Amino acid sequence: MEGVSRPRCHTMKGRAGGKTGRKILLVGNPNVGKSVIFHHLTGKYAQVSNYPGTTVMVTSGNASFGDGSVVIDSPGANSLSPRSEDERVTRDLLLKEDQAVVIQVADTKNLSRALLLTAQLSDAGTPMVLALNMTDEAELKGINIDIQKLSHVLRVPVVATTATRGLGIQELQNTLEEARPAKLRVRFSSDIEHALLQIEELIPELPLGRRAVALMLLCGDTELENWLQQRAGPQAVQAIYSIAADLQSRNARPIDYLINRVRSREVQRVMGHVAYRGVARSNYLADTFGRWSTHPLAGIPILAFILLLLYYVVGVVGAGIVVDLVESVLFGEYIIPAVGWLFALLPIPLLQDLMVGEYGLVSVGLTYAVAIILPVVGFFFICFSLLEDIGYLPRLAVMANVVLRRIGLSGKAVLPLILGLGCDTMATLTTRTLESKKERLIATLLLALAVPCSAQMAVILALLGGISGTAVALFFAIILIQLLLVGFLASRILPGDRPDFVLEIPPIRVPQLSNVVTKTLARMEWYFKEAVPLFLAGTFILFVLDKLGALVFVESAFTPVVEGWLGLPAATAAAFIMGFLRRDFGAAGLFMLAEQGLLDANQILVSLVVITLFIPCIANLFVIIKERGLRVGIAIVGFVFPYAIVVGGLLNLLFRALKVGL
Amino acid sequence: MSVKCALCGCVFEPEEQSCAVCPTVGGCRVICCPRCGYAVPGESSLVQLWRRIRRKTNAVKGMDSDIRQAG
Ligand SMILES: Nc1nc2c(ncn2[C@@H]2O[C@H](COP(=O)(O)OP(=O)(O)O)[C@@H](O)[C@H]2O)c(=O)[nH]1
Ligand SMILES: [Mg+2]
Ligand SMILES: [Zn+2]
Ligand SMILES: [Zn+2]
Repeated sequence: MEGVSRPRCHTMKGRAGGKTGRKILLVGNPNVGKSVIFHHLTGKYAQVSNYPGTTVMVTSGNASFGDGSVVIDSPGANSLSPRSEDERVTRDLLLKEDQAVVIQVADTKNLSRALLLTAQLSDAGTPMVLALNMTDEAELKGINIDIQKLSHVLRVPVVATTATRGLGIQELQNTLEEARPAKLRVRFSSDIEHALLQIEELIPELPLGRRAVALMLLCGDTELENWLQQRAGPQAVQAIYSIAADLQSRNARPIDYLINRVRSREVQRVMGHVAYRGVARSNYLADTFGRWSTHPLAGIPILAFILLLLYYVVGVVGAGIVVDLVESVLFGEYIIPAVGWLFALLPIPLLQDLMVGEYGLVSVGLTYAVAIILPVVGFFFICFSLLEDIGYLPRLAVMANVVLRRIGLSGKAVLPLILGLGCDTMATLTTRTLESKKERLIATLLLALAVPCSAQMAVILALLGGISGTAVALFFAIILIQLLLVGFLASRILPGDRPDFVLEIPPIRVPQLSNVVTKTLARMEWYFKEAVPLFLAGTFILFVLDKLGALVFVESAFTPVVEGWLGLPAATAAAFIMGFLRRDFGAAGLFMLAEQGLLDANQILVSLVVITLFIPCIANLFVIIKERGLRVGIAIVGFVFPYAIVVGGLLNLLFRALKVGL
Repeated sequence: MSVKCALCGCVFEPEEQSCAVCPTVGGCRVICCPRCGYAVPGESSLVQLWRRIRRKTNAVKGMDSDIRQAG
């Protein structure tokens, strides 16, 4: 008789099949991620209560997969023969929730500790699945577990999870149906086995495997006494204690020690089959890269290298596709003529113009959004999501901090500038977390002035990619100098320094395709929902201005500045106006002008510098006014606008004087 | 489902952090880290759709096994 003698087939049906009221019990060593998994399985609403008669908190909640299951998060336990209140509560939960399915959560880095518990769950005969959590950290440490083999040995489903990122949770949920008692039955020495048999005969029909309870009793679990008194009567309890005492008297060492020793030997045997250390692929490379990327000196070439890669992917590959799209294939030959033909059926020329005219919704708004922005921004977002996933962003912040502290900007003010690479508007909002008013002002100013947002950056890379790497380097050097110069001057007004912002620097890790794909998709979708309506609205405004003759007026009014001072064709004024509606929209306008051969390389660079330094887009300006007040908003525009024109003009003069042709 | 901020490492529940101050019309569905403000867009509806399909097929599978057990 091997212990488990409860009517299994009956209970199994109740467990795996009928779902209403099914209990799912999370069990595992302390700090292995039970609670994180609990939150994944239950969603938002959880009940926290004291376990009766203890100070231990037990959380339970309805399963978010909506089959009526209740999930219970147990406190951490290393053993079912309790030595702490936490362990006792866990054991009691197992006794009480005898219809429960157990999810044992294990720290993959420390699987043997988990398997000691599995061995006890196996004795208890509770249906279970095993979640190997923290696989991310295990991977970094080069620890590999053969999951299939482990599942085969234990005869239970084993699922790898990274709870903090929600990985494997769905699979875990799916395998619950296949939960069954684990087979990690340990054979003890014959006198212990004999004593176990004797005790098992004395205890009644049990929700938990009798063997498990017998083992607990042998390990000196006095807490069980009350519970046993009620079910087996005082004589049985007496008999059991005398068996235990007898066994102990024949062994020099404590019985629980002996039992644990045999268990751990068995666990080590299993480990030998399923665990192997990877070559410290454990990312010696990644670690070194991680360390160097924040080094004050080595970090800069690494950053330059990353920018270079970005330039190739976005500026060369992405832009190549754009040029194809714009020049011929999709828009030039099919869509615009098709729409034109369609509207030609309508006898209203104005409507035709609105769709496919010089500032037509299709010929400009949609074309810019789909043919220029989509491919370029898509490639940019892939790169960005990749950098995010490998953990480079915090390092970029650290690097920026090193540099910007030199010019007197505090560590905390650096963050919004990094955030600005995503969206200036959003970043401007975060400047409110800065401590002093002046700090907030400087960060806001620098954001408005010199930090291109991601979409704008992507289009810039695409435009410059058509010229040369030198042009890209020159552009970023110019922008960076403006950033440092203005930051430096502004920070002279700002005395004292602030505590640095503390970032948790995660290890660099190998990117995961699924992560990069979902992040990129999320970004593109977000971008499109936000950008396309504004592009259309912007085009419409230009269309109206054009029809009213205002555009010609504005262009001619700015001709002295645009043509004379900046050396650009008058048509760029329209692109600058677009840039005020959205910076990337303006950049796309410049892209089209360049495509039509209206801008040479020098002019492209000048116009890009101007549009980058130019007044912030409407949304950003709105936030600036909202956050800093109207006066500050006007002051910032009043400074940035002339400043951009002056810098652009100086660049133009410099090119002419030195007879540079890019 | 909690998310971990890619910039500062803070772990938080996204439901509580969608951007409420946004100037874009109708909100921008961006999730901002409560600690450092780093913003990521909410899950793509394509991915959500994919998840829903997966869940549905799983539910169907689950029902099948129920029927088998009952019979
Ligand atoms: N790296 C990593 N950390 C995790 C993972 N799961 C949980 N953690 C972290 O481990 C810690 C303990 O998690 P918690 O759920 O409280 O553990 P519990 O004591 O078993 O409930 C928390 O800081 C979690 O963020 C994982 O898969 N990977
Ligand atoms: Mg916990
Ligand atoms: Zn953060
Ligand atoms: Zn927002």
